[in-house]
Amino acid sequence: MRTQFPGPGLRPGARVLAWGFRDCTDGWRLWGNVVLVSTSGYIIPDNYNAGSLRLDGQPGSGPLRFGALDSALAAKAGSNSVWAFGGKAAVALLRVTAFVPVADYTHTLRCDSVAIVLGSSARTPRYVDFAVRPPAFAIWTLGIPW
Amino acid sequence: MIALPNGYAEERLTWHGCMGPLVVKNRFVRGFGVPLDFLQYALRMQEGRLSVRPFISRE
Repeated sequence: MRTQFPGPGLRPGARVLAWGFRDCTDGWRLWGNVVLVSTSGYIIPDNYNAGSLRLDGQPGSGPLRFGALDSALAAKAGSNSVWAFGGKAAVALLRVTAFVPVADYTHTLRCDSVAIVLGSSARTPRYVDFAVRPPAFAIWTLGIPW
Repeated sequence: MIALPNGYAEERLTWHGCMGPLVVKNRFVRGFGVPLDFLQYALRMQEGRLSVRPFISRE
């Protein structure tokens, strides 16, 4: 049976949740999808997304409330590395010349300085220490018509 | 791509967070979702301090 796309509820005026990501192997074209949000605040997945739209640590059965997803997204956004740029004085572009494991979860990048791309700094780091964390992903919501 | 604190003058920096979003590939900054030349769309410099523009939008 042929799946109808877009779904029957996807019409002008519908409330939707849209997300996307850029694929560097596809000219950075934006890829993503759209799901409907019901007037009662539940996400209505289409056939393609059915079963895959759920929150980490929660069972996949049962409808997902948009409010719960919105809260989870806000919490995820706060833990994203990019937020660590807030309050800093400069952004440096570095070239990694070596990846050095230090301990089980700790690594060091040996770097050459390429440029200061924003702000100003008298110096750039030669070594960057960091800890590997569990995989994380981010969702860029393109427009939530609220 | 990495952020430097005010007055940074060391040889070593400890980064608290995932490095994946900070990778620049083909002059595109993955974590910010912008080309390197358009970084000002993701970061704002005000009075010598950076602020991150939210990438979750509500319209």
